[in-house]
Amino acid sequence: MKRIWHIAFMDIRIMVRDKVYFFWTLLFPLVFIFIFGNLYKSDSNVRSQAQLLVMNLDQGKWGEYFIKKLESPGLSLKIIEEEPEKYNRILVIPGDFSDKILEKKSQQLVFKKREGANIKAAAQVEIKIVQATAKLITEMILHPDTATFFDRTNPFRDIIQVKSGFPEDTLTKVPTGFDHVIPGTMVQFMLMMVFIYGGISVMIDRQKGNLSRILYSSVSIGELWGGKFLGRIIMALLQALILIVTGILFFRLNLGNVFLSVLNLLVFSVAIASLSIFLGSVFSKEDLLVGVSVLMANMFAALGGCWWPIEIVPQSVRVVGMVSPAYWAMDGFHQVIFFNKGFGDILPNLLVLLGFGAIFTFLALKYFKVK
Amino acid sequence: MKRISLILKNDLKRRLKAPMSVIVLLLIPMAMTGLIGLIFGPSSGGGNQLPKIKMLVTDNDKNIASKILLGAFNSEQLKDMFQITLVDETEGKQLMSNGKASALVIIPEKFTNHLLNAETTELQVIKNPSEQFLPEVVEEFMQTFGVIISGIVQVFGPEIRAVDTLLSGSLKDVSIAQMTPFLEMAKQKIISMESYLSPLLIQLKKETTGKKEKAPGVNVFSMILPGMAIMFLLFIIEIFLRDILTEREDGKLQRIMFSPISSMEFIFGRIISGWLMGILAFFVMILMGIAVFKISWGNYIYLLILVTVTSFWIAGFFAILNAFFKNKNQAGALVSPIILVFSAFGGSILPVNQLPEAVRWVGDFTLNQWFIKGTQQVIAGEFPVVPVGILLITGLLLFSLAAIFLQKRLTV
Repeated sequence: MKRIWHIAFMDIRIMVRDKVYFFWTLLFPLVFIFIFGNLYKSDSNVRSQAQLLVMNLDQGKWGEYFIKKLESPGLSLKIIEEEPEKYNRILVIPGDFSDKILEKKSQQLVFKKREGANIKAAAQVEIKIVQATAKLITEMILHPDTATFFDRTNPFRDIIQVKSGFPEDTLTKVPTGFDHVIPGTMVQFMLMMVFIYGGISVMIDRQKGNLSRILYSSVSIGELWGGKFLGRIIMALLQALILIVTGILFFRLNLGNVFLSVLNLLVFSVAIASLSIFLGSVFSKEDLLVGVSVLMANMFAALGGCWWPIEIVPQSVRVVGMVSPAYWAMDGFHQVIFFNKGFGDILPNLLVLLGFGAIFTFLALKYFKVK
Repeated sequence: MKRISLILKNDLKRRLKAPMSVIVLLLIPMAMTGLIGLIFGPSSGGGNQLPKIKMLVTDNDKNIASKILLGAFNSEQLKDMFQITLVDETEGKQLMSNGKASALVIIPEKFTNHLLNAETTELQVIKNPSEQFLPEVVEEFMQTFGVIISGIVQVFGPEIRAVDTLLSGSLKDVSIAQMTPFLEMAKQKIISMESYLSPLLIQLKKETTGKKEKAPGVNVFSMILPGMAIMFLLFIIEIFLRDILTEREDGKLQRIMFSPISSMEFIFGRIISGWLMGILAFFVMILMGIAVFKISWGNYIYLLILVTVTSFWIAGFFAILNAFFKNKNQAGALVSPIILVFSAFGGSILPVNQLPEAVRWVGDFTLNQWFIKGTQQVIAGEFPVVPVGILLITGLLLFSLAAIFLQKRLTV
C-alpha cells in the first residue's frame, strides 16, 4: 500500500508543480462559475428581479398610477425621461394616456425589448404589465366615475394570494444560482483534469520508459496500476476540494449533507480514474490525447447537465445523458443538496457510478501498457 | 519563394501523414454544435419553447372555482405548456420531495366559498428546488390567474354572493323571478364593461429593437458553429506554429539553418504554412457546417476574405507568442489558457450579450468576437467591413512584429 501511495503522490507532485495547474483548477473554473453563476444568479427564494425602464410621457395622473400598479417584488422599475441608446426593456406610457383613460378610449402601451436580451426577464415583465393592466381595469369597472377615482377608499384586492415555497424537510438552505452552477463546474473540471493531466502523465511515463523503470524496482505491476489509479482519484478530489473551498468562501456554496456530497464526489472520482489510465494507454500523441479528452469531458459534462439546468433539456436528450457518469453525479448532488436525501436515496447513483468504474477499469487493465 | 513553397509542401505532407489530432480538434466543435443545437434547436422543442412543465395539482376544493382553474389548463394553449397530474396532498408532497415534478399547486379547501364571499384565500405553490426556470413559470401563471379571478370576484361580488345565498337552499325553491334582479345587475355590469374590454382599454404593443432581418438559411447551428469553430481553430493553428519551438528543441532548426534557406524565409514559411493550413481547416468546418447542419454561409467570397484574414491573424499571433516562449512546455502551458480566456469572453462559450455586463468590454479585445460578428454579417449577406478591417490591421502588425522577434530569436 505504501508503494501505491508513493506512486500516486509522485503523480500529484508533478501535476501541482505544473506552472498552469492553478489556472486549470482554479482560475478557469472561476471564470465559468462567474459567468454562468451570473447567468442563473437568481436566488430561488427571492424571485429574480427583472429590470424595466419606464418612460412616462403622460401629462396626467393616470400614468403615474399605472406605474404604482406595476410595482411588485419581481420587478425593478426605473423611471426615465428619454429613451437611452442602450437598454434591455422599456415601457413607454404615451403622452395622452390619461386623456384616453378619461375618454375610455382604447390605447397602446409600447413595450420595447432589445433583441438578444434575457428572454426570461422579458416574459416576467410582460406578465407584470398584464397583471397591472388587469388590476387597473378592474378598479375602473368598480369605479367608473373617473372624476372621483383617486378619492375612492377600496383599491384592488388580491383576493387570491399565491404562497410559494419548497417541499418540507428538503432544503437545508435556500439555493442560490451558484449552488446550481458550482457542482456542475466542479464535475466538468474533475473530468477535464483527470482525463487531460491523468492521461498525459500515463502516456509520457510510458513513452519515457518511467513505467518500465518503476517495474525494475520491487514494485509489482498491480501496485504500479494501483498507484496510477489512486493518483487519478486524488487528482479529481483535489480539483473538487479547490472548488469547494472557493465556493464556500466566496459564493456561500451549500453542499447539503457534506459527508454524502463528498462520498458522491469520491465515487465519481473512482468511476472516471480508470478511464484516464485507459486514455493514456491507448494514445501516443499529446495533441490527440488532449483533443479526445476535451471532447469526452465536454460531452459527458453537457449530457450530464453540468452546462445548463437539466429541466430545459428535452426528455430524449435526458435519456441519452444517462450514459454519462456526470449525469449520475449531478443527480446525486441534486438529491443531497436540494432534497436533503440520505445514503439510501443516493445509493443507486453510487452503484451506477461504480458500474461505470468497473467497465472503465476493465478497459484500463486490458489496455494498460508499460512500454 | 521556391524555398518557402518547399517548406509549405513539406508541412502539408507531414500533416497529412498524421492527421488524427487535427481531425479530433475539427470534430470537437462539430460535436458540441450538434449537441447544443439538439437541445436548444426548434426541432427539439427547445429554443424559446420550454419542454412541457410537469405540474401536480391537489384539489382540496372540488368546487366551481377549482374546476375553472383546472379547466384553464385544458385549453389548447396551456395544454402544450403544462402536463397536469391530479394528486392528493400527501402524495403530491411526497412526489415533490423526490423532485418528480416542477411544482405542486394546492387549491385549498373552501376555495370557491372564499371567493364567493370575497375573502382572501391562498393558493400554495410548492416548487422543485433543483429546477431554476420551470417552477417560476408555474408561480407566475398562478399569480396571473389570481389577479384575473380576484378582479372578476370584485366586479361581480354582490351578484355572485346573492345568487349563492339563493342557491344555498334548495334549487327547486328558487324562482326565476327571485334571480332576475341579480342577473339584471350582472347584465348591466357586463354591458358597461364592454367599454373597457372590447376593445381592451389598455393594450400592449410589443416591439423588438435591434432585430436584424433573419437571413435565409440561418438556423440555430449557424449561431453556434462560428464560435466553436474559431475556438478550436485557435488550437489547430497553434499546433502548426508550435513547430517553430519543436524544431528548435530537437535540433532540426539548426540543420535547416545550415541549408541555403535564410531565417526570414524559414519564418515566412512557417507563418504562411500555419496560415494556409488554418484556411484549409476553416473550410473543412464550413463544408461540414453545410453538409451536417445545413448552414447557409451567405456570400462565399466575403466568407473567404474573412477566413483568410482571421487565419492570418491567428498565425501572426502564435508566431509572436512563440518568439517569446522559452520552450514547448511553456508554450503548451500558456497557450490553452489564452485561447480559453479569448473564448470565454469573446462569445465562443456563451453569446457576449449573455455575459455579465461588467465584462462584456473584454470581448472587444478578442479575435473570437470579431470573427463571430464577421460571420454573422456574412451570413446576413453583408460584407464584414469592421471585423475584416480590425483583423487585417492587427494581423499585419502581429505578422511584422513576429517576423522581427522570431528572427532575433532564431539567430540568438
